[in-house]
Amino acid sequence: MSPSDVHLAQAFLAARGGTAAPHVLSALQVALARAWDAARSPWPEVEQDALRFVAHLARLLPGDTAEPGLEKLHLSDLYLARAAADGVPAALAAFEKHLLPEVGLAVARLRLPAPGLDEVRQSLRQRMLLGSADVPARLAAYPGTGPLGGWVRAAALWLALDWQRQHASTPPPEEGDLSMLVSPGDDPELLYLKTTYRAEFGASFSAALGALAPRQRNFLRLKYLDGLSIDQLGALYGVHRSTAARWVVGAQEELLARTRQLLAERLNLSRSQLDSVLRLISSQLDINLSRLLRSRLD
Amino acid sequence: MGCLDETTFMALLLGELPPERRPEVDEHLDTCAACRRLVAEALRAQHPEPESPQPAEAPPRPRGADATLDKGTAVGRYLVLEPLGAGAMGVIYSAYDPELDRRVALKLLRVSALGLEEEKGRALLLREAQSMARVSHPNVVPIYDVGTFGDRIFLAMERVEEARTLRAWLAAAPRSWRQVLSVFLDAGRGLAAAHAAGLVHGDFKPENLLVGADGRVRVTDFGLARSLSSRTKDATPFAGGTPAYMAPEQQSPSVPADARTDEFAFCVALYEALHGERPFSGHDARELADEALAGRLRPPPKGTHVPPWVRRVLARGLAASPSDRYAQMESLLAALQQSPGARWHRPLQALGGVALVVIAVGITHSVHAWRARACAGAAEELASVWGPSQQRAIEQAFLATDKPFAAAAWRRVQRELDAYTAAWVTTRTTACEATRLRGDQSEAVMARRMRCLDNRLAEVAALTQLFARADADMVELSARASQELPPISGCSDLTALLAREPLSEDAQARAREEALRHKLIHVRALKAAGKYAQALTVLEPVAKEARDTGDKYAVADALLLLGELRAEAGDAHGAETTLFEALGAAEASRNDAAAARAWTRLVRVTGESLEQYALAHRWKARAEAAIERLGGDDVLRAHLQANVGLLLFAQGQYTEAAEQQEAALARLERAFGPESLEVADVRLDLGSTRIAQLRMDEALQLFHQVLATREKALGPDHPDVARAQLEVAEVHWRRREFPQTEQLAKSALEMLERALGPQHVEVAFAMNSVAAAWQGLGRHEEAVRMTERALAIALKSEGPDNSTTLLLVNNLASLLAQGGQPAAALARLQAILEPMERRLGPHHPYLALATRSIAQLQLRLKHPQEALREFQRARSILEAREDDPYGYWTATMLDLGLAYMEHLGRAREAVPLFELALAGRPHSTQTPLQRAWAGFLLGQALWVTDMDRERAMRLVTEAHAVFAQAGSRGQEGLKRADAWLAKQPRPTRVVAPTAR
Repeated sequence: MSPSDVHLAQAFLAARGGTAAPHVLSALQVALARAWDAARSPWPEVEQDALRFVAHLARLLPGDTAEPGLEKLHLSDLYLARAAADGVPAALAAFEKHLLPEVGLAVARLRLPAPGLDEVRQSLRQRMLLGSADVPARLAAYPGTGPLGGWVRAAALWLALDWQRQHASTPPPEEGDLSMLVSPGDDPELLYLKTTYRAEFGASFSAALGALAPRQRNFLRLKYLDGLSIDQLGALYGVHRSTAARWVVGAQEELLARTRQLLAERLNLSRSQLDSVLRLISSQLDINLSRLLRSRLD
Repeated sequence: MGCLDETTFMALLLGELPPERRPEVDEHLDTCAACRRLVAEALRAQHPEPESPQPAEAPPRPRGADATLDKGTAVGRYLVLEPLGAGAMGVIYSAYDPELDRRVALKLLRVSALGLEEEKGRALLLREAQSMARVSHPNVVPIYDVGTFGDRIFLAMERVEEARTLRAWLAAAPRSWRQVLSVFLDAGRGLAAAHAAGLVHGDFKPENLLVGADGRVRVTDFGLARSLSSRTKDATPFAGGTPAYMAPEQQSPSVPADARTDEFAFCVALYEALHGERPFSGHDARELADEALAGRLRPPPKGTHVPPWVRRVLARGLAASPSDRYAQMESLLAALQQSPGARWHRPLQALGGVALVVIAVGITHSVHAWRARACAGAAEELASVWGPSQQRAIEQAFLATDKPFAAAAWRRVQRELDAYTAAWVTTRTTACEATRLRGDQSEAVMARRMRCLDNRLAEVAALTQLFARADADMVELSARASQELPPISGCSDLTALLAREPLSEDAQARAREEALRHKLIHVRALKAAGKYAQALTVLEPVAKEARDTGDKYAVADALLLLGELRAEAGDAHGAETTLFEALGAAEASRNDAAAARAWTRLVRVTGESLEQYALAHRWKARAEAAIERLGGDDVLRAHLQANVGLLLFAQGQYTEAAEQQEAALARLERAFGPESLEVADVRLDLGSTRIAQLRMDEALQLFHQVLATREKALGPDHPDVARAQLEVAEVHWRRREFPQTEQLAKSALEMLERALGPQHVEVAFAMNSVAAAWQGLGRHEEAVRMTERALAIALKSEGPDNSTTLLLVNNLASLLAQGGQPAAALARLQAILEPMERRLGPHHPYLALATRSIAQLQLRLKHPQEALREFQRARSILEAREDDPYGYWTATMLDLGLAYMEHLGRAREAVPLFELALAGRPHSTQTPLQRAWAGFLLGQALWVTDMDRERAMRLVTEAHAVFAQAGSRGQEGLKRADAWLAKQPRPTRVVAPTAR
């Protein structure tokens, strides 16, 4: 490439409708040429127009021309998505081979009935690769900020859950299995609370729960009612598992501390008496949490 | 915002939701359960958990130690079917017992609920549960099996079909007061049966009463609440029990629950069931207790049909003070059946509880009761073996021996056999009912179990027959004999039962095997009672005959018994040969149990008795493998570890020995409880090891525990008490506390002579201890004479080539030397050195001890060169070891240094030796006094050689201070240090130059 060859940079700028100084232009040209090579190298059999691809990148990167941030993008994933959205046969084949099986696996975990599974697969292909007269192929919208696999999986899950929502006659019963964990008749401690402090404790707990931030309540519900793991919670909020764990524990402690305080006010109990009450309760914490969280809002 | 759209959903799932949008999404999820579930479900699919491959299928639930078990999980031999309920102490499952082909209720208990250390809590719960399993009554939910599952305990109980709690039963339909009363009478009978077995419920309440589809009421959850409350470290009035049903005395954690606490709870529950409200008003435990203490019973509700006499009876049962209540449940139940104004009730009551129940719950129960009688024969069968007349005969025979410990022995036997036979009746009834009554066990399985139980009863019969003709020796061993009866639980372990000898098809062979088995039972009883010679006479021809018939499985059992008998009778060589024969037969017939026992026993015979250590270690490996193959019997494992401990001790490997013994102790404490005789035996072994390690305080503590256990279990005059006394005496002797040593040793000697006869080798042990005490007290002549008597006994009973004999010779020699006969002493010692090394190996501390004694004699006989050589030899024996057993190394180094310094005048060469002694070895366990001696001698040597007089003076002064504080034990040192210091120039003149 000769030093004066800046056609990639020009296409990039044209897609944004902007201009740039010559030295910026040549630096951009170098960066784009490197990005182009990196993007296409895993897919040697997939051909597409470089200028068109660069223009696509320009639309995805709204920032400063001098610092376009190309390195933040999953370039080879974008390459494949763009080519597949354009209907390049080799790209379609690669997409079918490398991405769909993994997506199929994630959807399968939802345990849809066989017809539902077929339907979801069908509409996934349709929407991802073909689009319709007025909606372009969905793959064209892949932002390249995360791996293509995760993005396609998320889209597929939406389709699958949507299918489920439309086809389920009644919503799934809320945690029917938890009820068997709470059988007060067998539990002297729980029965004790129920018969003596039940109303007071329930009210204090509810009030304490209400005083938490919505996110804290979500954390506790997702963990105790929906049975999500710390890792899954971390993924949802985009934080490390240790942070997620800290959040859960923090919410739990805050809830208990507030319950303790409210219960003390309500019952006018001395500190030591309250401690012995709470000692009884703490062994039931997981169960109580589930039950009270559910009964309040669901 | 509305429900999630595709874009928001995807951003959320990909962790790409912009921070500014988070709050609105959080707020929406907080109020919209459907969206929250959508997100949760997608997250599970997007990020599957590695440990749960099918998260969408598994019910969401809190994770952790108490997570519910999945269907099909194996708990012990049971397979989990489904959860039935949960409580504070754990979860209850419906489960399947594949071996008995029946459904059971499986309760998994959290050890953590006890608030105890995990290991301790588990052992405690396990013991509680085992005693619960002993109660057998139609109105008590039977416990079939108890075991551990991870860190939890499980109880396998009868699965009561369509069980309702009494509260549910009361709510299901209106019940007349008579119906309520009769159900409670039944429950009360169950409670009384438990009380008779020494168990208190501790948490009696309507939720612990189950009414089954058959209409029968059963009490459940015995004792668990009680162990919860009484063992919680900081027991609060709220812990354990259920306040509304708790007696006032349960408010105080220090007062143990007893039968009258249950009586109170029973009356609260009955009162509540009759009146629809509880007898005392109050909002919490304290208020309730105050009302109960004040005796403020609520007035009866208007329009009640409950007659006043019932209220009167209840009022007494609800008395604040236990002593004001009925003395026992039976009295309360009797009072509840005696309506004073209704004489027409009488004929009905004559029929007993069954008739009352028929009124209450209809015809199903009477059919049930009729069937139950088919299995009721166990008690009668037992009566012919352990009835009042047998018990009287045994008591008379015991007392007739006139032994001081006979009465205590009888009480112990009675308690042991009562417990054993009670368990037998329960197991037998359950085994029968499982087939005949509930039909959930096949006839064939029942036959196996019955046969096993018959054999157990035969063991009891054989033992009681012997006891009825007991002599003194038998009385001595009676407590252990009754403990050695094979556990009843073996008859419920179907795997073991089926793995047992294949039943011969041929009727003649079967009759032969049956006859052999009965002979073996008889011989086992003789062995347990200590009648070895008699047992051998009976068994030898039987074993020979069995060998010829060729049924290897039974032959292995017979030969194992024969080998054990020979070992007990002191014929170690014969025992070894026979045990190997037993092993041959056992391995040929896959009699794994016999093989494991034989190898375990061989470790001790070959190792401890025959002193063939290398071989014994090989047998140990075999024994471990055999126990493994057997499925890991914990008690047998403990026996093996104890035997290996003895072997290592005999070899002088004390660190390793202690490890084995500690492990064995832990196992046995779990199996039998910390106050059992089995545990005491191993504590004794460990204590001896601790002495060798010079850990005297630990040794003394262990021995005092043993002494207490034995005195309590066997009575104060039992020879086992004397044996423990000798151990305590040894600790005192090693601490140079001679008056205590003499007193304990003499008392033990008298007891042993009386109990075992004057020629028993153990009498020689006691004599040796007495002699040692006398030596310390300066009574030389007497000590020599006593040791000679002991040696004569040892020579006669053990022969010349034996550790006991060798040690006695060594002791005698040192006594002779002290008494001014060094030449005689030297000759005695030199004669035993070679056989000693052969016996004990080249690194045994006793060998060093004897060598050092020889060296000391050589010194006295003015042979310093020979003495040096012998001291060096002793030193190299000891330095080949890592530890410093009995502190022998330090003493030898000091002796050696002294020889150089005082006998050869070569103090310069003594300095490095004393330095070494003062520094000690890494594993040395020097006493402060030994260190003081090392310092004192080093100081002398440094002074004499003029190597470092300043340090010399400092060392001697320091040693002097230690001697001065050591009381009588420091006197010798103090005298010498004083004398030495007096000879030296005033310390100030030495210190002065440096001070300036």
